Amino acid sequence: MTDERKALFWLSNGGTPSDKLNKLVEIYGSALEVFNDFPTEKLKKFLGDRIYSALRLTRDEKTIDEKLMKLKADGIRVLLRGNPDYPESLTNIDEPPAVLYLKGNAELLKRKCIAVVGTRRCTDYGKRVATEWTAELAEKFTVVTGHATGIDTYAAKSAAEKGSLICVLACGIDMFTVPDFMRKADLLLVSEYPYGTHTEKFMYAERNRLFGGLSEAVLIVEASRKSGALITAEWACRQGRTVFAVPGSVFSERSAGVNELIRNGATAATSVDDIFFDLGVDTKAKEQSTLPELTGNEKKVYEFLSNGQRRFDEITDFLGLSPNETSTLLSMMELGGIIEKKMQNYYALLRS
Amino acid sequence: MLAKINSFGLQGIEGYSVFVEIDINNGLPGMEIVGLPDKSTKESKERVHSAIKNSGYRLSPKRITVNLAPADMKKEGSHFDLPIALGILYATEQLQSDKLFDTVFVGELSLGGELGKVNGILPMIIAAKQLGLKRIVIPKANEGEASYIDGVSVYAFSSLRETVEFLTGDKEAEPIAVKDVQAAFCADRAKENLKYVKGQYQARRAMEIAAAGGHNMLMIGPPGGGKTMLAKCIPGILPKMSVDEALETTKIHSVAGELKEEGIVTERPFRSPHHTASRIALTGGGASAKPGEISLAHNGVLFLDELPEYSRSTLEILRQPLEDGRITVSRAARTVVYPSRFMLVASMNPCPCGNRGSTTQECTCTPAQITKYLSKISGPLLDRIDLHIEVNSVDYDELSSKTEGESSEAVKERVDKARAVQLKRFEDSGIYCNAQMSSNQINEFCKIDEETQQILKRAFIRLGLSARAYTRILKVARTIADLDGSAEIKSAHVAEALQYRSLDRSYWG
Repeated sequence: MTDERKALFWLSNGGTPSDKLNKLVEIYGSALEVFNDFPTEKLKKFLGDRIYSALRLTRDEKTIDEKLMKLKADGIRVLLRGNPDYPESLTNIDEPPAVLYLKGNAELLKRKCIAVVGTRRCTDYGKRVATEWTAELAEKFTVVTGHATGIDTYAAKSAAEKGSLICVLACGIDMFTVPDFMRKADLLLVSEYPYGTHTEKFMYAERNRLFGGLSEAVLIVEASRKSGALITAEWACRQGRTVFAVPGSVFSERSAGVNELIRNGATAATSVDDIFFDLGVDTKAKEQSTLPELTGNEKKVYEFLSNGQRRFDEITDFLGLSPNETSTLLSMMELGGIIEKKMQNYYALLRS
Repeated sequence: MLAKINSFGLQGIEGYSVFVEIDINNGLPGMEIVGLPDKSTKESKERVHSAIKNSGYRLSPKRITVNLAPADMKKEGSHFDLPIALGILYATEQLQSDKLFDTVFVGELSLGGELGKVNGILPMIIAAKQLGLKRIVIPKANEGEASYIDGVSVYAFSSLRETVEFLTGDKEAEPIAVKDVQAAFCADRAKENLKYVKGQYQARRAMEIAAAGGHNMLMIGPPGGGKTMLAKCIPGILPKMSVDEALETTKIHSVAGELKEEGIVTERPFRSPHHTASRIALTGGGASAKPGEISLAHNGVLFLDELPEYSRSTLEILRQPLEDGRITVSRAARTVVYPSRFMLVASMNPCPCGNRGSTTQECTCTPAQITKYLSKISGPLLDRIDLHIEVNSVDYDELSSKTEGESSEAVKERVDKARAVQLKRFEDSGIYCNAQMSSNQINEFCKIDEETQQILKRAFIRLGLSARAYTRILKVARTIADLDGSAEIKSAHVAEALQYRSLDRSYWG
């Protein structure tokens, strides 16, 4: 065999982790040399029994060709390091993956990307930030996120609706069931794991380095002290990316991680405009929304709510109206886009 | 000598005439009961045997055959003891009376000969009256429920001996005095009053609307917000029961053996089965097809606390009764239709831990847990619930405040007025309140003008309301207009109704 690319694919497909693969190529000079030298005790010791035997079984040009054909037939693109399409941002991180498996719109890798990640166990606050901010970010960036429940999913949904999305998988690309909301989206699935690899816990941590790797910046929406999102932040920091963290309540256990990130030097993001500003993205001056004409009572409610959300009972007492009159008034204000109803009978001014 | 005594059996909540025939033949001593008796009826022979002996009569060592006619219908219950015993006494020539054959007898006997309480006396008396029978003898313990029917003389005795003495004329007895049903209604018992509910203006208002229009209601809120307390206030603001309604409900309670001392149900029942209740406990059934909780709540309130905790199959069976106002219970032996026109009031937490949306406590649920929790309540069931309201937690200041809210009596007055309007509107259409309107009737009675139409349209776009909310909002708006004394639905009414559709809001999804 004389094709370096096939040799590289063979090494990766056998399950060789990126760090070992990179080291082998460094020592031998090329993957082809490894292929030619292959069955040696030294390699067996270096790679471990499992990978070694997997490589031994597939060390044959015909098998490699068959595998490549199969991937091609399934619409998977195999992107090797060294290919001009290989994202440049990945080349300067620790342990860049030797092989990327891509499915979907590969052009997205060339766009400006931002990663939005967070905890699976998110609160309504996190959900709202993930949903609303991602929608705005998606106008300027391609959003990079994962496929776990919680923040990742909400960010992915929002991005799928408003713009484009790169979903980085912690499993083989064929092992991922594409959820309905992604089907019509401008989407690219990325995985560094060979076809047919099942998810294992350590892969999430390993994959997290690609969030930063593929993006210009990383936004951590919500994370407890033990959340995997902190690993993403750590990788991104090492890769020299800007890490944005959304500050949360100091009493909320599920914001403890992000608050600590901020303490340790991450940039606190209090609005999408903060992020745009820090990343040097031009934002058109937003149209100043003019307040609609308010009637007497509406005006009172508006002023009452300007200090924060209030309960139905408080508003009723404040206005001195009967509950049914208050309900009517609040409905009309809701329809006018001035206030919104929230859970537990809270009402708040709608973000302008 | 052949004896043929009048008695009654029960089919659902209706009584039907049963003849207890007793014949004495030569043969091996013993007693055989035929005519499809169940276990409790069959065991009658042991009770009757001892009761006769212990009341001072003889039981001759002969073969006794008891037939319960019509013989092809299942008989159940212990109330055939008395007619069987009297029949035996007649057949053995220990009792001679001209009253014996034009009187209906029901009652259970103890081994000592005392008469004990039985279920379903009221439907039997009503049936006896309809058949034109003049006299009926019942156990003393059932006196209460029997005293509201006039046109038939009801005698209540406490033992077999007393009954026999009355029949032979040895002892004079007066039929029990007929009580005035209206008088029973006046006896107002203490119940939860709305004036002690602190805050919760929106929930109070929604309850008023629900009571006025007969709408089903779902309350969502954290634990300790007062959902149960609010629900318990509902009977106090519901319109008064009519005499017909009271008798209908009493019949069901009589058959189920749920009647209290006073013998008639004058207050709208409030049933709150626990969430471990089985399907049968709710719908009724079992071997003897007894009425279940939803029938016991007939004309009243069925309160399901912690709705998502009920098993899904239990909740789904509520769909037919909610639609038709009755439940058909089919068992191998029989098919019975029980009325079940109730107002469904349910409560639930916003999430499994209960703190979702709270500003002071943190919710510890994952999005998946919340989705799973909310999905336990199916769309079709939600479709039948017109009002969804949120009940918020109450803070200390509100709890400790001395000011009383509006009392139940004041609310009830408005509810009664709005109901009167509805009764007039639906006079000949077979329904009683706005909640029962069909889609045709909604088109007819819930017309809205162009401006209101626009408001609704905007509401759908802006608030993310689902399609099923449309007719619900119209119905509720109709009731709000009725409470307001307005013939047309105005935009203000629709606007208010929009506030009572919490679960349709997109933020719940």
